[in-house]
Amino acid sequence: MYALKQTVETSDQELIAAILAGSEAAFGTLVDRYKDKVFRLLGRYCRDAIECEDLAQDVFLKVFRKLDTFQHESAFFTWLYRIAVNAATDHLSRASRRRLKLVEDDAVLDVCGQAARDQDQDNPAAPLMRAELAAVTRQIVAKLPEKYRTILILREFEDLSYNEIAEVLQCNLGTVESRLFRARQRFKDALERNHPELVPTSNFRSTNPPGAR
Amino acid sequence: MNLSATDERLLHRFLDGELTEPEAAACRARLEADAAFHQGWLALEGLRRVVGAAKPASVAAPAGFTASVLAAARRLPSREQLRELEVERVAVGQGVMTLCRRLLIAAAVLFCLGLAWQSGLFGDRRDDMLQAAPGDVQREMDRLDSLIQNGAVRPEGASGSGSRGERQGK
Repeated sequence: MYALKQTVETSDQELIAAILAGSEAAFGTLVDRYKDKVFRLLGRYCRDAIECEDLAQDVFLKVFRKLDTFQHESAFFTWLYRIAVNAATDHLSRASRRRLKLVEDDAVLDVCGQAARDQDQDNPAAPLMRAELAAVTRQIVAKLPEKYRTILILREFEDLSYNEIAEVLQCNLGTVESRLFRARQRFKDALERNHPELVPTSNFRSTNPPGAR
Repeated sequence: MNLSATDERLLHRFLDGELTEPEAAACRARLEADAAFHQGWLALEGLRRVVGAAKPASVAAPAGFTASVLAAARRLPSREQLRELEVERVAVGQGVMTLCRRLLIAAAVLFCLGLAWQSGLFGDRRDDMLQAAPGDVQREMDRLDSLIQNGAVRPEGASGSGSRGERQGK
């Protein structure tokens, strides 16, 4: 029987080799390592926590079934994200066929976060304003065409680099750049149309650029 | 603020941290010198903050999620079985593809034959065309006329009336 030394340092590659050799514990470790990220990503496409959990389970089962096809040419997490994004977009198209309105559940996405709450102690109205802004933003993002929504999620919420996004979406860097540019443009247009008071002006934040003296 | 598309894209890449260090330094220098560029940067940064407002700060998978995934994975066929199923599926797929390809080729051949038939490429080996010089035709017609006049040959239709007469006589 394969015995895996499960340490924090165990790399994805070692875990994958162990899973392919039949180790269930290694698969458990891999799921533990990425479940929160997958949940956060899928939460953008699901109506509620149950739907999100079902979709996340499907993603990990697909990973389990297809793991022997992973080529190690890219990082494991970009491969995982690709599966998750494909599952999410399939889910969206099925949902739109069923004419379901996707409404994100705050139970799934804790928008404000504890860190932000801690910062709001000086201004009691700040949490409310932030929550309103978050709600507006989520509405606009949810109404964007799928390709623009996905690229905004990957860049703004998942903090993926252009290279990583290109690997997840299997497109080239130029496509990532132009699609992200258009996504932000569309977001801005929608914001101007529906909530002009929230459109950032050049006075939005009068700070110096990063690194400027 | 009117920035060119190139400048706007440059700002996007700058804010996304996609510029190399020398490019980023040049961009920072320009931000300090170019007011319009600086305004564009402020607006874009503001927009990114608005988008980022919906960023989930903390999302955690529910307790027991890993256990439920492992339980579901245990119910899956083994990797060998999955591989065999995949091989079988591919073989069936290839068989269907081969059959479809053969049917398509047969249909294409039949279609081409039909077109060729329609366009008269396949004759019935009967030559209905008179291929004679006008003088020869005239001479042949004269010969036939003389035979008819001599009663050696009955013109076409005369034999029909004759037989009718014979039937009436009977």
